[in-house]
Amino acid sequence: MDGAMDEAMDGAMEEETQAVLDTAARVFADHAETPAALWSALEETGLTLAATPEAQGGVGLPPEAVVALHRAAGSAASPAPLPDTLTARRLLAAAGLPAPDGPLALALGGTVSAGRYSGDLIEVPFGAEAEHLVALAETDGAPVVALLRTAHAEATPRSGAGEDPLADLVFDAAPVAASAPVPWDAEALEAEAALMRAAQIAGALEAALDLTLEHTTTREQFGRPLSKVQAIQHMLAEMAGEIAAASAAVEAAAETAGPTSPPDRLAAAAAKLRASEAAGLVAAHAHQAHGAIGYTHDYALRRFTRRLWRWRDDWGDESYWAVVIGRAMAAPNAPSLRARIFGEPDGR
Amino acid sequence: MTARFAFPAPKPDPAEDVLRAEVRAFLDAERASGGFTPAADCWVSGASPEFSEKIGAQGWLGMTWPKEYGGQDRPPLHRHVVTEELLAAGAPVAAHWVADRQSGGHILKYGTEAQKREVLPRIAAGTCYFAIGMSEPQAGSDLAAVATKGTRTATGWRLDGRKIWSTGAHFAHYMIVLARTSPPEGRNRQAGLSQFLVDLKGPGVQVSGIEDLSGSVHFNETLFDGAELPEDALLGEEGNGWAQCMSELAMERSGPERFLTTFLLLDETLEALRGKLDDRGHAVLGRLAAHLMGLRRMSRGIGRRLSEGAAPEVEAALVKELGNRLEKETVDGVRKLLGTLPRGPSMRAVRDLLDETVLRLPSHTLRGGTTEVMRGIIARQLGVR
Repeated sequence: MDGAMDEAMDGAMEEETQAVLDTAARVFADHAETPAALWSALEETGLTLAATPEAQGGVGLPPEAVVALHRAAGSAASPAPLPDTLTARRLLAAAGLPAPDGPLALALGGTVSAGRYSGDLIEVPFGAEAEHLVALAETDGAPVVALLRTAHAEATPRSGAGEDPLADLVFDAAPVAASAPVPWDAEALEAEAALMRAAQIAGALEAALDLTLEHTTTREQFGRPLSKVQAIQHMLAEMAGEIAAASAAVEAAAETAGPTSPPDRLAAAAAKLRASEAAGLVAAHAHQAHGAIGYTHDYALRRFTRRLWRWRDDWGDESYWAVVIGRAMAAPNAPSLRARIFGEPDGR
Repeated sequence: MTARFAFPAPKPDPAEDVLRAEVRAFLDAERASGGFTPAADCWVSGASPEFSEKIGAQGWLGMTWPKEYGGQDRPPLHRHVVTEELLAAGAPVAAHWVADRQSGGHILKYGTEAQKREVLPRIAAGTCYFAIGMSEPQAGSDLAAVATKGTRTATGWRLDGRKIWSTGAHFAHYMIVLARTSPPEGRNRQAGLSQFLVDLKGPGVQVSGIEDLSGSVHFNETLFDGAELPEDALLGEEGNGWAQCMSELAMERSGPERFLTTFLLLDETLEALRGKLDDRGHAVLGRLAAHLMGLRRMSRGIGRRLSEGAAPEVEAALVKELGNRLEKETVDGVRKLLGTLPRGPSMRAVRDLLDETVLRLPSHTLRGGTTEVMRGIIARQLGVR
């Protein structure tokens, strides 16, 4: 393919992606705190099919666009599990399984044996609310995708720091609605899901900064807007730096994912680590700059900061991924830091 | 999503890989043959005209300039590749660093044809070095307070004043000096400033070294005591000095040295500890590596913006602020990694490098603009200043 054609195709793809993102932003804004209505609107507009390959009746957005959609869900603090559903559908598609309608919960663990699934799943977002759950499980040590009905689990609701529902689920030889082998292993799903949450975090960080800018430029103390106070300006600058760093790491990881393959594990690890770290600092600065009003339930900031506090711990917190990266770097025969950071042209 | 900052992904370019392999092979060979010993803060501490000439002979200086001025017509991301590799290796690049990074490009943008022909080919050859002439004893972060005066004479200009913290002025051939050539326009102190291309070996110029806190001399005070300059020493437009200086500063800040100065320390620490770390150590190392990956991505995004002719000064300020923070955290992290291990002879080299880095670290968040100045630039972009 020649370069001009490449660029024309890139352009068409970018337009399609932008159209999807614009639709998503509108739908999220229309149903900010009504999960059921939001879900209906997401299905009506076809957004729930965004990550499903065209061959399976989906939109087949490229992985970078799917990550951008996760980010958009984060920046709207979507109360419906669109990101988890999109990722679960990607996993089902990788196993060649059709997806049921409705929101999907997503989990890693458990075993499938003779058509029955058993597993203890901890802190599953929407685990009791979604009708179906997609688990990456094992059969005789090989990865399989299992589609399950959450009604078959014993569910213990968990509170969590976030706003979205969370539950521990115990399945004990529960019937499996569908299952199939999948070329993704546990590490692959971890990377995919970590990038998903990192993208949501990046979106929520931006929204938290937007609110903080709005507040500090309109709220006056000592006869001037808070934003004119240098201490506040420096907090805002620090927040912006964290957001830019998290976003760059997310974009870099997104580029390593394929239409049916997960992102590079270390790139996803770096993205989740960076985003989770940023979540702590940005949420803290946002609350500090807002004062007491930001600590109220009526005010919108908690929709973002509570999710940030949840998401930073979801699918591996910053310590978890730091150890993963550190082990890979420090292994006896691992490439040098130079090779890791700048690449290895010529095998050097 | 609000796009306040742009760090676009660089497009794949196989020529970058070829170049990187060449630079790496050259540096590995130089190091193996004793051509240099890796050093902390190499772009400030390690001045070696011999090494600079070798780099110049490879065609790795002034790479982005037109061939007629000794350049290679290469895209900024190729220069970025060379810069990354030189910094990662701790190579002695301080002699040519300022000239290649900012002064040459600045002269290319604002200089006369004669100035370009006089200076650029020599910079590209690695034989002509520059110092920065911005800060003064009473004008640090408040750069518009510069008091050095340029006065018209019958034959050109006379320069009176003092520049300070001029790194490398003791060996540099030229300094680009920001001076006041007419009074401020009311409260606008940025008006009335001009830049001069000053021969540091000329009459009326006196360079005296200033010891840093470790006792080593890399920066100086440069006194201009009625220094007579020829007519063509004026660089760019008279009165346009402030805008020119901001453009020069953007180049000064945009490179990967703002987050890679402690790369060597982390690299050597990893090699000293490879296979010996527990998960607490892995966590420290992994975190620093993740931050490095992210900053490198941002830095290459700046490289791409430069390739497209943009002036990404706010993005450069962001990377500098984050990068300097990472450099400090690298020192903190390496101390944690080494702290639990016995200080036997096998740790001597890496501990020496750590100590050297500790002594240089305070300058990272000052040079090229302080952290506070960077945050001000970012805040302005956010619309609150």
